[in-house]
Amino acid sequence: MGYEILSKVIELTDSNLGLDQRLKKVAGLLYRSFPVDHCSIYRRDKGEKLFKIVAAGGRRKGSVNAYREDEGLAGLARRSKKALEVSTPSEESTSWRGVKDRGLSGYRSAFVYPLTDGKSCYGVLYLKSTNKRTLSTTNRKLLGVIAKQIAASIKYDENIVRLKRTYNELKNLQTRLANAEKLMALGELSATLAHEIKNPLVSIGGFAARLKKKLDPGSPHLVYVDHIFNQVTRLEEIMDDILNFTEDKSLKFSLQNINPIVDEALGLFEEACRNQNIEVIKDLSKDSIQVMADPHQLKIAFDNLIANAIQSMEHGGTLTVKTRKENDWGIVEVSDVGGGIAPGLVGDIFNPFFTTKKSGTGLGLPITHKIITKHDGHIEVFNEYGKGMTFAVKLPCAGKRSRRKR
Amino acid sequence: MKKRVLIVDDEEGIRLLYKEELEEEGCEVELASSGEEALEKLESDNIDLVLLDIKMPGMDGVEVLRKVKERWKELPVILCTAYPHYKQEFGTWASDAYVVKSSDLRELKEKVKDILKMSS
Repeated sequence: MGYEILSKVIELTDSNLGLDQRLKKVAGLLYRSFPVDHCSIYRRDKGEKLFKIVAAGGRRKGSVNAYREDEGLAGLARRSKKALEVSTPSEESTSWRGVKDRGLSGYRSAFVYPLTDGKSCYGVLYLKSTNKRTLSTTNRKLLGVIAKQIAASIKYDENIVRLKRTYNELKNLQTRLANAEKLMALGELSATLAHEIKNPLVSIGGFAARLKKKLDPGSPHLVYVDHIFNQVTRLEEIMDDILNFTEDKSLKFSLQNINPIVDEALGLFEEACRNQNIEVIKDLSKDSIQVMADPHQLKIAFDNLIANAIQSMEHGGTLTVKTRKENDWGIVEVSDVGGGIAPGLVGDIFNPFFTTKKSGTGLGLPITHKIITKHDGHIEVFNEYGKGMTFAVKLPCAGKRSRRKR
Repeated sequence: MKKRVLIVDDEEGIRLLYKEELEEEGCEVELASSGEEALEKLESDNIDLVLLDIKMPGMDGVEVLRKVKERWKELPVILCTAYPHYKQEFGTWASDAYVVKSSDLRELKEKVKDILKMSS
């Protein structure tokens, strides 16, 4: 009979179910197989220094949810590293040999086995009976072995969890490394590209412009020449985007006012907004907001946000740009009603290797993100799929000592 | 007297384009396709301004710049390059101007006119 129980325990602890489920089945089995009224398994939480109940079978009355590491019979079993056979004079007793344990209330005997591999304690097995009982030698030995098996099962599970965590960290690191390598390769590629591609572009565009001057103002061929020149400009912008992103330019910081920079950036897009039927709402703070910044880079950052907003509103809409000071942060908000993006894609918008654009490099937002990060700021994204998006750039105000986020 | 500009670039298209554009602005233009050729021309001819490409096979623009400044301290040099702002700090102190190559030549022509006016 003992072997049957043992083999059933082993079978249960080895199954594919989650650990807590397995332990519940074991507790149920032990309650049914031994002359007890209650069986519970406690798992040790080393971080919180507690034994927490994870499984119970039989009578629920008087079940204790958790013991501190040094509390009650559980604590005693852990300290002594030995199994305890406990009997009390009455059901009302809640202590034994000086050890207080409220789990004894309603019971006359208890058997507590530490779940250990000889070195660490992973929990306790706690069996209780309402009658005064003792265990036979066979049962005592059997329970001892069962306790070891349960302990092994918990230890194994904890190791698996730790392994999975390490594996995931490694995978993360791998991805980051791969991205860094891609960026480096991109940087090297860009330097060559710059020279190889830009020079021909300068020739093509330059001569197209010269051709234009040779044509009559009414010539039907003006359109061809304009088209050539426009495409060249477009290619040059793409090249600039790529090179801007992969270079590690050192920024030159000085005390700057945010509002004029935002104004200048908006000014650049005035005509584009008019052409695209976009209403521009400008709500700049009355007071000046001062930050330590590289004005040229910051303007590029804002340019990209505004361009992004405009591009999302192909058929018109409203562009709202607000600035304000909040605690020690200067905040610039750019909002559009361009429909937002699918929620799953929000995490990727600052990723240079991801783009949903049909044209262009999709590097505008990653460049902005890089610039703002170099300014010790951050960007918050509010996405309403179907409605629009808001990008809130937060920069630390000049003179702000602590960089802690409020 | 017309100002003489020396254009140094290994790309034929660039040399031709710059020559036409600057001649239209009233300059006389000399061409050199390498750093070595540029230094030769500087020895023999009277040059008022040098437009210098950075990336060239053989002697690159940086070396030419150094040699030019050693021998002809007062001769203005404009660096033209495909690298946007790359080495900008370096370019700024060594040369008189730094222009990023673009199909829109307005900035280049402005700088040329600026510097030539100052020299006379």
